[in-house]
Amino acid sequence: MREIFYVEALREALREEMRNNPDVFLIGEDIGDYGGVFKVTEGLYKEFGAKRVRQTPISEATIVGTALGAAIAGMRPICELMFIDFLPLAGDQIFNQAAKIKYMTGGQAKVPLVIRTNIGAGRAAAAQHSQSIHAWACHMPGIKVVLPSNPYDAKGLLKTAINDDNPVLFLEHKFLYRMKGEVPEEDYTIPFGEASIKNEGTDVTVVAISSLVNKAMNVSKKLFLEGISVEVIDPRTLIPYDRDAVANSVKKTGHLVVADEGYMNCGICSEIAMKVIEDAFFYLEAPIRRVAAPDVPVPFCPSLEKLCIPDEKDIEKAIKLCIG
Amino acid sequence: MATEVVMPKLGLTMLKGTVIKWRKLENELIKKDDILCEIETDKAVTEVEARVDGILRKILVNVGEPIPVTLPIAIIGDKNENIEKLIEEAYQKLRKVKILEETSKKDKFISSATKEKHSIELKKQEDGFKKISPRARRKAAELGVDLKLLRGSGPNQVVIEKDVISYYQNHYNIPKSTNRAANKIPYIGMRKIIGDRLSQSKFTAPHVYFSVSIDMSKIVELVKNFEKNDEKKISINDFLIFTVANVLLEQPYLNCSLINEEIIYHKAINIGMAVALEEGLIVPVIKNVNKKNLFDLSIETKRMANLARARKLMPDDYIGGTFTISNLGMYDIEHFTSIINPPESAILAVGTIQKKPVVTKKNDEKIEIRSIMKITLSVDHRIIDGVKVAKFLKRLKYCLEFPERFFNK
Repeated sequence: MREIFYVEALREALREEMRNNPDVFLIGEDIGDYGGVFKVTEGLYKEFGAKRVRQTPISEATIVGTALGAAIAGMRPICELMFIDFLPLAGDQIFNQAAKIKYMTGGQAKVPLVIRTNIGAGRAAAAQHSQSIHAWACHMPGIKVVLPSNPYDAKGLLKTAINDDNPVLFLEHKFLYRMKGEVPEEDYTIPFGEASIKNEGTDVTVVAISSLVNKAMNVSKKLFLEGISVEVIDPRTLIPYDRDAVANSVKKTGHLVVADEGYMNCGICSEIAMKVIEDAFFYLEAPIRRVAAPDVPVPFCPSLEKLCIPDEKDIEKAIKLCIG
Repeated sequence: MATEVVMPKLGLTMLKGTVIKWRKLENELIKKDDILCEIETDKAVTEVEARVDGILRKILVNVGEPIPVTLPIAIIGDKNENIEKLIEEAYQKLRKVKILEETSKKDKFISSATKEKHSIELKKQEDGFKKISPRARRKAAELGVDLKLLRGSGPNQVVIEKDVISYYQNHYNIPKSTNRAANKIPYIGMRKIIGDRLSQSKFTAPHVYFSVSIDMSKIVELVKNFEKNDEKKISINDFLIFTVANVLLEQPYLNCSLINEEIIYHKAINIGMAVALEEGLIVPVIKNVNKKNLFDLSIETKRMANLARARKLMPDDYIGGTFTISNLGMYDIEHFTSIINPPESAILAVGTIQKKPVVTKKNDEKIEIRSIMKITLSVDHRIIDGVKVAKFLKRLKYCLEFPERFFNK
């Protein structure tokens, strides 16, 4: 099977859906001729023109607000926000409007809106360009949250997002754009709410989000040689969340480590852990361990920034703490 | 000047004790001889007194945790003394992690070692609290394993599922169908100690058994006379103990022990009388029986029996025996054999007194109804021979059958 970059897989999804459906259009900053700050939309302006690849002023509220209106009016817009750090600027549009309109109109209005953005630190981009605050969106009912960890999942999930009639926050990762992976030429989609067991194991379950899935996979390979069998689960979508897959895994292994790049406090790890306690408490052998970013703004200085990014050593440490 | 209070060694064979109640609290004023706590060994409950005046600065161990003897259990000192180092040393001896508690903010000295222990990894180890994982509990409930018996092999000594499973496989070799129907009690504590001692005795000493029937009619009459006054009541047992002791005085061959390749003939005659408790047999020892008269003996046996039933025997009360009498007469047992109580070398098993027709040895043989009691003596054949036993029993029989010639009233 051919191997393509994560960024290429995303581009393919966008291109194919735009070709399929004239209602699909893109809106965001620098997505036109420039091709987007991470080059996801490269070539699309050339193919589809300014009406379907719309550039905006630097105003996230405008980007989302405009797209929201278009979505309610019947189109299928895909917004691009340059970094998830700018989400708060569109906060009201996303959380108070987009997430709620379908409910508040008794289903009369639907909001087929996709908001693409990215998370992750490690480029010395400092505190305001390095966050992973997807926990905020998970806390808001009415909005779906998707985090693909590889090119195959990225393409399949983006297609599903575009065809979903609800607001979807689609979260790419800065460091995954240049990740290569096998992607079939044929058309395919991946449903929401279905976790992917990336590696089967028996000693400990590691639930990892986005780029940490790949780090967890590396750790599992290393620990396999030490005689520890790690089961790595990628939930792929946090809303809707496949809690059964995780619970069944923990029932098998008795140990859980959750890894996410967001801040530790009130983060994704806590929610995942709590759901497992609800579903599989009597199968646990040891306390659940969380691997997450420390509760500090991400420093600019690269050596300090490194300490704020959960890495393979942290995951390995957590696993060993858990199983002893 | 702060001092340690240690787990006292209350008897030669005592290895561990458990505090079951602290009578004084931390920071309470202590006077010498005040009772600090109650300690339980496998056999009895005792009180521990303070040896000095002072303030009970720190309690080092929790209720319910077995502590080896001579290890520290508390610290008594002055009010403002810095006992940080003493506590650390004590905990090291106890092999525990020291917890820096809020109340010790008086102690300004915080060592760097204790700061490390504060880190997230080391959760607060509550002394004596056994950590059991939810999965292990589930498995234990499923298999019917008693969690109290398990040792944890998980991180931080947590009992985990595999501890339950391996315990089950090692100890519960019963097919699943009978599992459900069985009522299981762990083989621990007093029961186990008794079991181990009995096994050891039986496997070490070659037991031989000698039985005689004794006509107790006259003694039965004597006992009837005393029955009117409960206080002064002398029992059949008292007569037995008294008589046995005095015969042993005449014939000391059975009052001995084989210890380290030496046969020791004891000067004292200390008779153990077996008392049945729910958790097992306990044998308080009446010391120097031969030096007591029957009435004093009777008082002593009553006292010992009461102490035994109240679980208030001191270790001194059940060591030092040289001969034991075990009486199952009250349960209608006619005849049984006992296992010698080491380091003794003989034990007398006494059966019930039954009215039986016997041929009397008078001039003309007649059949009379007499109260007959069967006794069986078990001896350690390494150091006691049959002939000696025969002589002993013959004399014992005579003394019991003709008490008027034997007792000085």
